[in-house]
Amino acid sequence: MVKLQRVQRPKTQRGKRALKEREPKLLENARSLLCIRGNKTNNVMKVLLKNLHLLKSPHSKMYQRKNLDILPFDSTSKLEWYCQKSDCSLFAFVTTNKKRPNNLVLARLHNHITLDMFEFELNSKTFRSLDDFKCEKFATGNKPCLLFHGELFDNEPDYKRLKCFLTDFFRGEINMKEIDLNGLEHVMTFTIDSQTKLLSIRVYHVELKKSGHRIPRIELNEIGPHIDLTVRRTKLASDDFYKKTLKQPDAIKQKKVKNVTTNELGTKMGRIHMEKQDYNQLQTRKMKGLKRGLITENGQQSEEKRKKID
Amino acid sequence: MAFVKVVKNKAYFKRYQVKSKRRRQGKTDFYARHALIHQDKNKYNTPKYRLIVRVTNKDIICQIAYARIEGDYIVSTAYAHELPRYGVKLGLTNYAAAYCTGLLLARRTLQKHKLDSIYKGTTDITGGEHENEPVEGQKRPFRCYLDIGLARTTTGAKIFGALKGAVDGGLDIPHSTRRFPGYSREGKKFNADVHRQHIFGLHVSKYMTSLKEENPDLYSKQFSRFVKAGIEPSSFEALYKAAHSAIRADPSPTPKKEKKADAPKPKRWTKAGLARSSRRNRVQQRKTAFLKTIQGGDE
Repeated sequence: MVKLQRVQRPKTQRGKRALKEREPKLLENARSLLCIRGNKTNNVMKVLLKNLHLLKSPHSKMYQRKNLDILPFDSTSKLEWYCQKSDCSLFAFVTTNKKRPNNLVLARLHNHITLDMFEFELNSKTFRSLDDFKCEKFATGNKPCLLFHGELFDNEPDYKRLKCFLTDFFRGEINMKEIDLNGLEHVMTFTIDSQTKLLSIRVYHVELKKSGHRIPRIELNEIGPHIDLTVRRTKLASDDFYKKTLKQPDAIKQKKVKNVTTNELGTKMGRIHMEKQDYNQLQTRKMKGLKRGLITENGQQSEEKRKKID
Repeated sequence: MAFVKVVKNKAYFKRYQVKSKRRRQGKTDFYARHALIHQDKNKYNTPKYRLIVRVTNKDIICQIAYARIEGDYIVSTAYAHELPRYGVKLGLTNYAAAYCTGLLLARRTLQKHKLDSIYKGTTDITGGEHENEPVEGQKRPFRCYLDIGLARTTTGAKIFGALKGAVDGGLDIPHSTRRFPGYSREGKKFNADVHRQHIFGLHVSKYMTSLKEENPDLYSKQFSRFVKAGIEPSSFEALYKAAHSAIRADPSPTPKKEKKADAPKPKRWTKAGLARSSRRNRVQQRKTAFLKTIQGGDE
C-alpha cells in the first residue's frame, strides 16, 4: 500500500519561516551535517562523531540513539529520509563490527539523493579528540582554511573527487562576500600519503602575532581532533548525475555586460563604437567672432546695433 | 470499558530523545542564545561578547562572556554581594544595587583591557541616554550585547538597571530608553529624572519614609535590617554616590583566598553513601537476622 505523506501546512509565522528556510534557493544555505550512530559503536567512534558534530556546529545535527537497520552501502534510503527530515545534506555514520572495525561513513547528498559516499577506517591508536587538546579553540560557525597536501589529490580521479568532497564537507557558510582577518581562526589540513593511502586530518588554531610590520606573523597551534583515516569503500556518483549537480540556475550567472571590461589592474574600461562621420559637418565649439558675415570693420558693426535699438 | 492505547510504552521510551541538558533544566533559551552567539554570515569580528545579567532572590550576577565550540569563557564578573566592600551593605537586589553591579563590571572589564582611562562613561548621572562613542586615534570601545536569559522584559526591570550601570561605566551596548523606569507608554516619552531617582534608590527611600509615618510597626518589620544598621532613608543618595566613586576608584576584583591545607571541612548536608564493604556487611547482617527469625518461628 502506498504511504500517503500528509502535506504539512504551517500554522504559525515561525513555522512558515522555518519551511521557507528549507525551500530550494538561488544561493543555498550552508550544508548541514547529520551525525548518526549505527547498530554497534564503541567509545572511540562515539567521540569521533561528537567531534565532527562540534567542528561543524551550528550546521550540524546529532541523533542520540542507535539505529539498527541502516547499512549505507546496501541502501541509503533511511539515511536520506532522516536527512530530509532534519534538512541536512551531509551525513556521518559511525559503526564498528568484527569485519569493519572503527568504521566511519561520510556522504553528501544532492536534492536528498546520495551523491558521493566514502567509507573510512579510523586509526584508534593515533586518534586524539578535541578534549585531549587543552587550549582555547575557535568560535562556533567559523569558516576554516582548508589545505590539501599530496600528489594523489591532483592526479587520481577518485582522490580528486575526495578532495572536492572534503572541501564541500568542511566548507561552512557559502555566501561570504568579505572576511575579517581575525575571523580566520582555524586551519584544517588534509594530507594523503601516496604509498600507504592514509588520509591525515589535523586542525590548527591560527595565532596572529607581532612581526614588526603590518602583516602579522602566524603561528599554528594544534587544537582539533587528530584523525588518521584509511579509505575502505567508495560509492561515487555517476558522471551524468554529477554533471547535473554542477548546473547552476540562470539567475545566478553573472550577466555579461557588452562593451565593458575590467583590465588586470582592476580599472573598468568601456568601448564606444562610433558610426562613420562627415568631418565637414562636425559640430565644434561656437565662437561668435569667427562666424562668416560678422567679420567687418568695427564701425559698421556698432551702427547695425544702434539701428536695432531705435 | 474502551481500550486506550498506552502512549508511553517501551517503544516510546526506547526512541525518545531528550532535549539538551540546559533545556531540560529550563535555564537556557536556545533560540535567544543562537542569536546572541552566532555572527552574521558576512561579519567575522571575533569574539562576540555578551553581558549576562541574572537576578536571583539574594544576589545580582553580571558577567561578560564569549562562546567557543568547547563552551563559554567568562572575561570578567561582578556580583552584588561584592558591594559591601564599596559601602552598600543592604538592599543588594534593588535597582540601585543592579546599577552599581553593572558599573562595577564595566570598570573592571575596561581596567582588564586597559581601556579604563580612555572610556570613562558618565560620572554625572542624570538617568538619561548616554552613548560611549569611539575616541579618535584610540582603541574602539568594548562592545557587548545584553543577555537577559529567561527574565521578562518589563519597563523598569532591574536587569536594565545593570545595563545602565554598564553603559555609564563605559561599555558600548546597543540599547534604547524604552525599558528604563520613567518611560511612559502613553506619551512615548522618557522622564530621565524618574530613572535617576531609581538609580539612587530614592523610590525605596520614599516608601521607607511614608511607611515610617503611617505604620511604624510594619516599617520596623519590613526594614528591620536598615533600622539595625542605622541607615536613614535620607542618606540613600549620598550612600550610592559614595559607592559609585569608590567603584570607579578601585574596581579590581579581590584576590582569591588560598585554601589552607588544615582548614576545617564544611558541614555535610546530605547523607554520605556507604562503601561497598559496609553495604555487603549490612546485607549479610540482615540475612543472618532474617534466618534467625525464621528458625525461631520454626521452633
